[in-house]
Amino acid sequence: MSATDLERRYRLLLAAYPWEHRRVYEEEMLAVLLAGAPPHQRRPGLAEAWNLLAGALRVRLHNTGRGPTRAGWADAAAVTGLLTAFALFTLSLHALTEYPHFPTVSGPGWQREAVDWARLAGWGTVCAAIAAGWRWPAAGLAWIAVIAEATSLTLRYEDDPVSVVNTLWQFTLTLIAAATLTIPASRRRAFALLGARRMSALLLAAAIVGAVFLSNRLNRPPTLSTGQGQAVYVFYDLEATSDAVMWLYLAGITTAGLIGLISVASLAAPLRLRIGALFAPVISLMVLINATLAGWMTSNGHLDHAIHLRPVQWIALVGVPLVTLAIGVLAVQRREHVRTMVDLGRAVDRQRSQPQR
Amino acid sequence: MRRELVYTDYRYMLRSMSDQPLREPTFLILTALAEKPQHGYGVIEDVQRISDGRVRLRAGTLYAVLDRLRADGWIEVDREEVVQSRLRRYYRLTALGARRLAAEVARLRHNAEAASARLGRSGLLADGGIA
Repeated sequence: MSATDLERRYRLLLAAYPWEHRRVYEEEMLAVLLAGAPPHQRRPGLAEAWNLLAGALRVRLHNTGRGPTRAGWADAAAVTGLLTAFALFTLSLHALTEYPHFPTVSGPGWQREAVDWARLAGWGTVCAAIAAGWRWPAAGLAWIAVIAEATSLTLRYEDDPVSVVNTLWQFTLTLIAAATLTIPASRRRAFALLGARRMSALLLAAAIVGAVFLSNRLNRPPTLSTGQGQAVYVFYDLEATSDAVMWLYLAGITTAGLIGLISVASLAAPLRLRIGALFAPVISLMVLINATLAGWMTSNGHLDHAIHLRPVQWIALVGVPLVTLAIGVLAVQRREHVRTMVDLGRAVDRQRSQPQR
Repeated sequence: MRRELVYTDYRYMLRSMSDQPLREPTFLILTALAEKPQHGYGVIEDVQRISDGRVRLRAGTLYAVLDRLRADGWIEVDREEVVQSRLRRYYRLTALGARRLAAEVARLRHNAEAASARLGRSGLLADGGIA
């Protein structure tokens, strides 16, 4: 009877542990506690009770803090850093086709050209540094890009807040590249995880995007002053004189996007989900801007002065991506923790169902 | 100090962290598991033997350490048994855990030899040093 009382009281103390921990260790701990108890003991000793409660607190604190430091996140950060830098490099190929010459200070709009060329050269260098295994220079350059882009956004905001909001997703990508490249990883880890086949596919995607930009440059419709009433199809910076050409451009961009998406989707689930969580802030930001700021952008286009965002809108633009990141990280952690615990619990159940030795 | 990641057995650890001294319970638990796989209560008894009765681990301490060591890949489950309706899970040291324990042993030995040699030379102890 006393053993039952003691077991019940120990179970009460063990309830202080997180349920995932109990699922794995409770029966085992109980066996150890009962094995160590003197005969006829009915209550846990004060020191034992204190030790169990302190242990429960330690486990809870440890489980809370250890997630992002683990290997899976380091791998995800390495791949995300490379993918983001490569995506930004691919997007900046736009400069190569837009201005197929180096800017000169005498030319019109040379500042914008210089910025676009610097972007292309910068992200190209970051990708090369990652490929060479020079992680710190790559991260350093990415942080310089963050500072430069933030400065550019700040300078443009007064006169053109719409373009600032429209390019926030690119700034977020830059921030993600810098942050993920800063997380320690072994040399060329991202390449090892992606493998030769996926890297080839990503290079192909970049080549397709580059070809679309180049074609857009070479086949650009004449300017309005020399045009003769010709229809021009426009999609962001892409311009075409026929519907078919525009669809071809869009098909090229979509194919490149799908190749990138499939390359990530074909990775192992733990890595894929983590990469998804790290990219989720960009998606949530784009959805937020499209869902809530379309009217603001239209109003700005129809007025002769800029309407600036209200503080609450800025809070949402900063807060929503951060909350999305936190939810994504916690959801991945939770999913994997539960799966691990369930697997271990099943192993225990299987063991119990076997005949006693 | 240069910080870099060591990649071993599918796990990373910061080199500077792996070089940090182990806490005594961790060191003794790894030592208890070094020779053969043991279950929880076996580890408690073995640690008591290893430390000449000086360290008696309690279940809360033991399982906090075991959980962390498993998460770090230094130990793993060897097998499970049910004895008198009670679960016994045996743990064993992994190659990574063995390397970490060996590194700690080398560190402690180096420090102990240095201390012993200096005490011997100091003449502060009547018997001339430490046996």
